[in-house]
Order: sequence, then C-alpha cells, then structure tokens
Amino acid sequence: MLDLAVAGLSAGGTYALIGVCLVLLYRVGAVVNFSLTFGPTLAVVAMTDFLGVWELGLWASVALAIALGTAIAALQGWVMATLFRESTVLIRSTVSMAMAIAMFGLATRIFHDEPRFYPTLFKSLGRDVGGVVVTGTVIMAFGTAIVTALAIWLVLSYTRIGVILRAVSSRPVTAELMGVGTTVLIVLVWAVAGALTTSGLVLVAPTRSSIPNMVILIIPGLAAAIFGAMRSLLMTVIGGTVIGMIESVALEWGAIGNYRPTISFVAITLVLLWSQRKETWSEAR
Amino acid sequence: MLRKLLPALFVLIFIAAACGDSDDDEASTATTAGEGTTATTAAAGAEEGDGDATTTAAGAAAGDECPNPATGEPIALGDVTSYSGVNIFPESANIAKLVFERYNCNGGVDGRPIELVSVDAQDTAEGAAAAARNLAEEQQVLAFCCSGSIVNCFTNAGYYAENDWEVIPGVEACADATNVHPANTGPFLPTYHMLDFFKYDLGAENICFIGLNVPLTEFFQTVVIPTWEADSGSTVNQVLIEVGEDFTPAVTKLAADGCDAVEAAFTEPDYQSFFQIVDAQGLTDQMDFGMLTSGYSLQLLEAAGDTLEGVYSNSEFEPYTGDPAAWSEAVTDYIELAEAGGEPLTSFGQGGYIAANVVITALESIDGELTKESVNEAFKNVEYETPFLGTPFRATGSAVGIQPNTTSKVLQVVDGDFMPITDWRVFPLPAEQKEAGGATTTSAG
Repeated sequence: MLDLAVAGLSAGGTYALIGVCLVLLYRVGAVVNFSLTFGPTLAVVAMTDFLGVWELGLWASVALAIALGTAIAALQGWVMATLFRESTVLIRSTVSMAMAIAMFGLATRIFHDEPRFYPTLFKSLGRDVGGVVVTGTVIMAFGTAIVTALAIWLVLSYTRIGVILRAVSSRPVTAELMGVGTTVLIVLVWAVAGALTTSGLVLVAPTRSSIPNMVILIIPGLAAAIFGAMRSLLMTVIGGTVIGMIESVALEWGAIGNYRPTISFVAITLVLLWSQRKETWSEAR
Repeated sequence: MLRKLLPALFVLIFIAAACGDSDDDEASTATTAGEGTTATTAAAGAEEGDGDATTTAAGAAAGDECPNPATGEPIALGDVTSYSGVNIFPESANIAKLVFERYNCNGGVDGRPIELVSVDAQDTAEGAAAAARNLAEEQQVLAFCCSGSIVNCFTNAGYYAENDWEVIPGVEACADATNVHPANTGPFLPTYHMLDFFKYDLGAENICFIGLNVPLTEFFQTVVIPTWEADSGSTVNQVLIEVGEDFTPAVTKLAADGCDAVEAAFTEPDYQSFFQIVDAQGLTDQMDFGMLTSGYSLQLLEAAGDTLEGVYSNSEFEPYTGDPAAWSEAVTDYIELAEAGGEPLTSFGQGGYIAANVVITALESIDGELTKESVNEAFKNVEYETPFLGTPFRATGSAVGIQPNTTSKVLQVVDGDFMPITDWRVFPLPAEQKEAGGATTTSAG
C-alpha cells in the first residue's frame, strides 16, 4: 500500500502544478482555462524537433519550448483581454474550450502523434522511498507546484501588484478607469501560467509521450483546483497530491479500482456539496 | 455590432484552423466519410513519367520511373484506415499505395491501374461504419483491402458479411470475422505466443499482463488469457490502466506482485512511456518484458533509446531488422520501397505490403470481367506464399481457424537493434516444442 501511495506522487505533483496555474488564472483572469495544457503540449512536442532536427542542445531546446509555451499563452491572454474583456466567466471559459480544441487539432496535424524522443531531466535527483524510486522529475514538479503556490499567495496577499491584480479580476473596467493597464496584466498572468505549465510538461513528457496523454492532464488538474474551490492554493496542492495517490492506491481495489478515474471526481463532488451546505446553513441562520 | 461579432468570428477562425486540411499531413491523404470525396490513390503515379525498362522500388515509388504505366479504367478498392484518433495505423495503407503505384507503373492488371480509395475511420466505431458505407455505396469500390485499424473489423464485420464483401486488411484486430482476412496475426494470437515464450522458452513462473482499459482489452481478458491459462496450466496476473493514466503505480504493482515476465499490450507512445518508467524504477534487469508487434518499430526504438534494451517483442511477419544477410528478397524489397516512399519501417507497414501483394495475386487470378462479384470471389479464395509469413496466406483460413496468418516470431532488443531470437511460433505450440524449451533458435544476448 505504501509503495503505491508513493508511486501516486508521480502524477500528484503534476496535477498540483496544473491545478495551481488554473487557480491563478481563475483568481486573476476570471476564467476556467480548459486550454491550459494544450498550448504547452504543442510547445513540448516542438521541443523534440528543436532537439532532434534543429540540434539546438538540451537546455536551449528546453528554454525555447518554455518560451514558445509562454508566447502561446500570452497570445491567448491578449485575445481574452481584448476581445472578451467584458465577457462573463462562463463565456471566457467556453472560449478557452474552443482554443483547446483548436490547439489539439494543430498539434496533431503539425507533429502527428508518433514516437518522439523526450529527454529525461534531473535524473540524478531520484530517491528511493518505500521501495519506489521518486524520480527527479517528480521532485521538481512537486517543488515547482509548492514554490509557485507560495509565491502566488505572497504576491496576491502582500504586494501592491497583488492588490491591482485582484482589482483587475473583480472590476476590470473600474481598474482601467483608475489607470491600471489591465491588458498587460492579464497577458502577463496568462504568460506566467503558460510558462509554468510548459515547464511541468517538459518534466513529465518522457512518461506521457503522446499528445493525448499530455493534454488530458487538464482533467485531474481541474479536479485539484476544484478541491481548492478554485481559490485555495494550499488545498489545490493537497488536492492534486491526494488525487494522484488515490488513483494509485485504487489499483489494489479490485473491480472498484477499474473506476478509479471517477473516484476522484466523486470525492470532489462530495467536497463541493459539503462546502455548499455550510454556506446555505450560514445564510439561513 | 462588429465588436459583438468579433469574439464569435475569432472562435470560428480558431476552430477552422484546427479542422482545415494540411498539405503535408498524412491524414490529408484520406477523407472523412462525411465529406465523401476521393482520397489519395495509387493510380496517379502510374500516369507520370517514362523511363528505362528497369523499375526499382525507389523509382516507382518516387514516380520518376514508370516504364509501362497502366492507363485503363482504375480498379477502385476501398481502405477503411484510422488516419486520425488515438490509435492510428496509417502505415499499412501507405505502404500498400506504394506497392500499387509500382505495380501500376508496370502495366497494372491488363493495363488497368489499382486505385486505393481511403476514407478515415477516425478510430471510432461510427467513423468506421460511415467510412465502409461511403466507400461501398458512394465511391462504388469493387472490394476492400489494405487498411490498418482496430475498429474497422469489430464495427463492420456484420456489414461486410451481409453484403458479400471479402476484405483483406493489412492490420486488423478481429479473431472471428468470416469475411475479413487480415495479413497480420494479431493482436490476440501473438499475445498467446508471447505467453508461450515466457513460460516455455524463458521458464517464467509468475507471468503478468498489462494493458489499457479499453474495449479491445476485454477480448484479451475474457478469451485470450483464459484460453492460454487453460492450455498451459499457469495463471496470468493482469493489470489494467486507464487511458492517459501515469504508468508509475502500475509498474510499482508489477514489481510488488513479483512478476518474472510481463507482456505489455500498448501502441508505440504508451510503450515509450511505460519503458521510461520501468527504466526509472530500475526494473529492466529484474524481470523480462515483452511487447506486441505494435512495438516492433524503428521509430519507437529511436525515441525510447536505451530503455528498450533487453526487451522482447513479437513480430507477426519476417523481421526487417537484425543481420541483413538473413533477409529474404521480400524483406529487402519492403525496406527499399518504404525508404524510397519516405515511410517508416514498422511491422504494420509490412502488413500493408503483404495485403497489397495478396490483392494483386487475387486480381491477376480472375479470368474475365472485374466486377464486385468476381473480385470478392477471388479475394475469398486467394492463396499467396511469401517468406514474410510462417505459413502460406490462405483467405479460407489456416489449419486452426479462419485466420489466414497464425504465426509470429520473437525478437529481442540487443545493442539498439531488434534481433530475431526464435523461429516461427505456431498456434498451438506443439507438445514436443513445449518439452524442448519452446522455439528459441538463437540467443541474441
């Protein structure tokens, strides 16, 4: 049981990082970005060409992939900030779905879903925990998720830029009338989320190896973000980790284990119902 | 007004960008059934170029040498391949088109070129059903052949039988369809062969199986593995993972369960992920791993690198790797044709090569007019002998069932190459071979 729980950290770290980026975009950009993993996937697959065809070298290829993922996300952010500035969260989120479909189509058409060489980074950091090797990529993904969550919390809570970002999120027009450059800030936030997600996918690409397997990470990432009620960064990190571990341990649950992808969502639904019940009771009182 | 329309316009443009055609896309050679238009044909090359009397595979494939182009009425054949979706197998039909292109450059069937009309099955049942009906009813093909798909046979077997279509695919995953006669063996019998190999050749006691939780896997679980367990007296520990799931927990479970040998049933990208994790967990030297023929691919070998070292693979056809001196003329021809046509060397490509040659043999055997009836009758009874297969291809079936091809070989990745290590494995493995330690003839390691 312990070995499977540790094995679940591999997926949990990635879920947590993606969840944190989703929460960031929701809190600041007022959008549930369903396309979060799609642009970065395109960039990570392109990295294999930077490395194998253009022969740019390992770290230059990684850097270029992160830059590409950042640029794609920034472009998406610009579209949201200009064309959908006054739209509701629902409309923005729907647009992000269209972007996801478009980028998935582009990725498979440009690169085809064929075997590609994805470099394994930070191999030497791997450690044996409970009979399972926790690889360097897992450690880095977790580290990035925790550091990112902490940094976002500090910026949003204790800095002037954090106050401005929150103002842009809740009252974009008012913030603009106050002289805040909302477009630049929204593009910046999208770019940061894109860069972080691309970094995370660069880490896990060797063990995901296909376009569908990478883009599909948006689903458990969303589940992690919902675990944190799309607000709490700490709960999102915990949620991502727990979901990864539940999926892993469920391998031993026989027939029920075959439904393990849904187990997480059942748990999240229960969390949401519980939190809603608390609010209703509070208001009623 | 314009401002209100801009967002909607943007969304439309974005989706159109993703759904539009791409000139260099393999999948663009096919169409979706809904579009209903003809796709890339093999006949086109026959009408281009002229040259000397010697037609090489490379020349014909490139279309720059076409000594005797067939210019008569094309013989239209239908191809229901999954060119898009999760499990895509374009290599089979792509190689078949190269075979037909070269054949058409050498006169075709009494001056008539063979035209392979492709419609994308999209790796879905509805896509495969629509594609078959489109080809039969709209495109008016004479027969079906050369496709690569795991949904075509499951979906359309009844349709083919009801409408007297005899189908010769390159790659299929269908064990009991009376009207479908694939060139390939698997994936079910090769799984049986690999389990045999682990038990009788390697002496493994705790054998495990890992696959994706998809409909196709159910046949492994309910038929193939129970049949092997009954025949061998051994049990197989099965681990299923969900599509897109991280492999680490499953690999951890295989280790915790103490597996001696693990047969993995995936497609190339999942093999790549799986063996990255097996390698990261340091299990490569602790247990034996096997792949189905879907893993026998030089692209996979290049992408996966050292993580495949020592891994066993099934080959449903005569291998195209190892010592070139051991290759038959057919293998050499396949390699030259694929390389000239820019196609990767894969086992599934071999399936298309064989299927195309079976089709040519069938068409050449017809006396008189080529009609749906005469072509399908020829497909139904065709026999084709080739060193690519352990036994001659007979559309009527082999000695043990309706599948034309029931043989395969086992390879091992040694020093970065797939090396053949067994002779042809037959189904069922003869008792004397079981007692003698299987069918291993050479040791690559």
